[in-house]
Amino acid sequence: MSHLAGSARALLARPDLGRVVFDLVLVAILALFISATPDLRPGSRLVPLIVAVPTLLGMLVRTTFDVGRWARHRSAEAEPEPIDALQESEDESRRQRWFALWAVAFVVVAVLSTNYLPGIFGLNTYFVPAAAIGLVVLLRAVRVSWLKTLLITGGLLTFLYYLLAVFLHARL
Amino acid sequence: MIDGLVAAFQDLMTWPGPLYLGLGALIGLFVGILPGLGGAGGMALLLPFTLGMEPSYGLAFLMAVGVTSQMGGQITSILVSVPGDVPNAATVLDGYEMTKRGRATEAVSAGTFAGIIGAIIGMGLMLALLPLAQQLVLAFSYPEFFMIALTGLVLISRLTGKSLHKGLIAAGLGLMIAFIGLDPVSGNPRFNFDTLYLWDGIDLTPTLIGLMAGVEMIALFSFGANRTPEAMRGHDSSGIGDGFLAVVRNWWLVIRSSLIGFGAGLVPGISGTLASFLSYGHAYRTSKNREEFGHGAVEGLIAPETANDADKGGAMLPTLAFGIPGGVSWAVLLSGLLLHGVPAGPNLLRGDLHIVYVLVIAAFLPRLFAACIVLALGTRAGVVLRIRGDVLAPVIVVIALLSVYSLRNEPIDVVVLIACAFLGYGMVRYDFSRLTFIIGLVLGGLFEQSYHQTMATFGPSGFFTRPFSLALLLLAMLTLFGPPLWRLARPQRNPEDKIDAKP
Repeated sequence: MSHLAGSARALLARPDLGRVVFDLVLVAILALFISATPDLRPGSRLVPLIVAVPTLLGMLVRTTFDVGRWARHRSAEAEPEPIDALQESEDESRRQRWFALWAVAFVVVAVLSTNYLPGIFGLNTYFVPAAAIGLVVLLRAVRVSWLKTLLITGGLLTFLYYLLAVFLHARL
Repeated sequence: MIDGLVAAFQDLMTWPGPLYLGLGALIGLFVGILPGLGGAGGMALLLPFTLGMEPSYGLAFLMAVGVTSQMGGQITSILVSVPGDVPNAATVLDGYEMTKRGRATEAVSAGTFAGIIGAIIGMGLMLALLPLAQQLVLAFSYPEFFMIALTGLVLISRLTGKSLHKGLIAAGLGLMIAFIGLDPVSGNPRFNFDTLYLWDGIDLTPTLIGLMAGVEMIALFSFGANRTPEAMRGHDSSGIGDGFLAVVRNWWLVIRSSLIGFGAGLVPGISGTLASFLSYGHAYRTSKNREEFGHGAVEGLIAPETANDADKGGAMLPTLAFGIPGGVSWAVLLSGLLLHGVPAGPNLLRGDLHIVYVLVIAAFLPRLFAACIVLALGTRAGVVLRIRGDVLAPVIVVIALLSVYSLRNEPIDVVVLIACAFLGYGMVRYDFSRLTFIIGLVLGGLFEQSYHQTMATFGPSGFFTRPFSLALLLLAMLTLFGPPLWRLARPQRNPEDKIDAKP
């Protein structure tokens, strides 16, 4: 099982498959737009269809091309892999994934907490506490000392409070 | 024009105008010194903060950040051989070599003085051509507006990125996102998928921040540990005066590089990168000391830095006159214009020119201020590079997320930002042009509205019977089909000719 898991990870890590997945996401977005056009008036859907249909066709051609290249890579006589526009080491890839996950977790936790937890005095949402906790977690993960972590987090939140809440009268 | 410039200057010199210009210059220098973030990313991140300002101050602030980032970027290029901003790539070739030879201060000084002169020449040429552009725009009507949008998208798809195909797909996607919201003709909602959030369309601010700054933050985080500039490790035997004298000695190169930079800036989408490399190549070909290029030739630094700054004047013309951005930073500026309720596109020159003159002043004064700071700090400015990228990136992300939320108190804005960051990451990784996507997003309204207005006023023949419209359409066709047809028509080389040519 661990062998299969390792193979799956290796496969998912190949840039060709990521390229195909991204192509399919774009195809899905365009298809979603086109699927919504029958409900529109003719005047409202004319220009969107003029743009969306050729774009979708172009994207399908692109996807077919990329799927074919991915399929060829799976065979024994693989062609040289296309040069990734963001060439990076394994360590950099890992850091990027962690950073992206952290950003998503920050937003998800803040939004869910705001919707399901009781309000905090003086704040409309859980974004500020989520920011504080998220920063502490990430700075500690990259081995910043506790003192610097708390100084940076405290300083930033103070700065944002004065900039957003006091100066710009935003409600956080 | 003089009255307009004076009025704009007085407006910007009224408090808190100088504060915003100075702050913009400082922030621009900072984001320019940090490798990876760049002027466009910095401008996108600061968009939410400008919405609380008056339009002229907010746009001047954005412009100040955008134009000074390259001045900061040259420092990184010279001190650690990493371009701080993309157009500073050519500066690395000789700038870093000068640092290794103990001439870092001379390099920074020469680049700064050359940049200022390039900025003066670029702005001067832009102001000289502005009345001509205004006359041209006044002759335009709906068909020309449509063709400008179409030709702009096609031209930039061809000139940016590695694939025209992907550029056009990105443009189409941007246009479709722009179509979300209320139909400009009937006012009916469309593509809102029964959600109130999409009733007015997708908000531009979180979209731009996610697209432009998301990838840069990821790269900054993985950039990780600091780099100690070479100049801080070794000795530096040069001074500011050496750089100034070098620029004076090469005055003719400075003028030629300014013209190259301005001309390259006029072509939409190319931005400063091509201008700097074109100028570097020209300096190499015309130099009497070619063997020194790549080994610390000061001309190899003066030429690209001059062109980098002169191209701002050139890029301003298509951006303000036609709504076709000269580069990524100009696309963000165009978005800023829209967000502040200023008509971006051909209508800008038809209306009140005050904003145009404000942007001209804001494109120049902050650079003078930034130049003074750079000359005063010299190589000490490289201390910014000691800040860890993996500490700075999460801090900037938190600022961006909270500031976007504070705009409308709408959590979905934050979700849109994250989604666009992932989209932007995918676009960069798999060679889809973010620039054409943003231009599609910004010009989508103009594109559709002018199409319907043309059909209602002139009918389909309006696109083909008006001379400017037809010329723009032919330019679009040439851009699309010209290069492949040229490749087909070009006579193939006979391999035997090579053998015959040998002595």
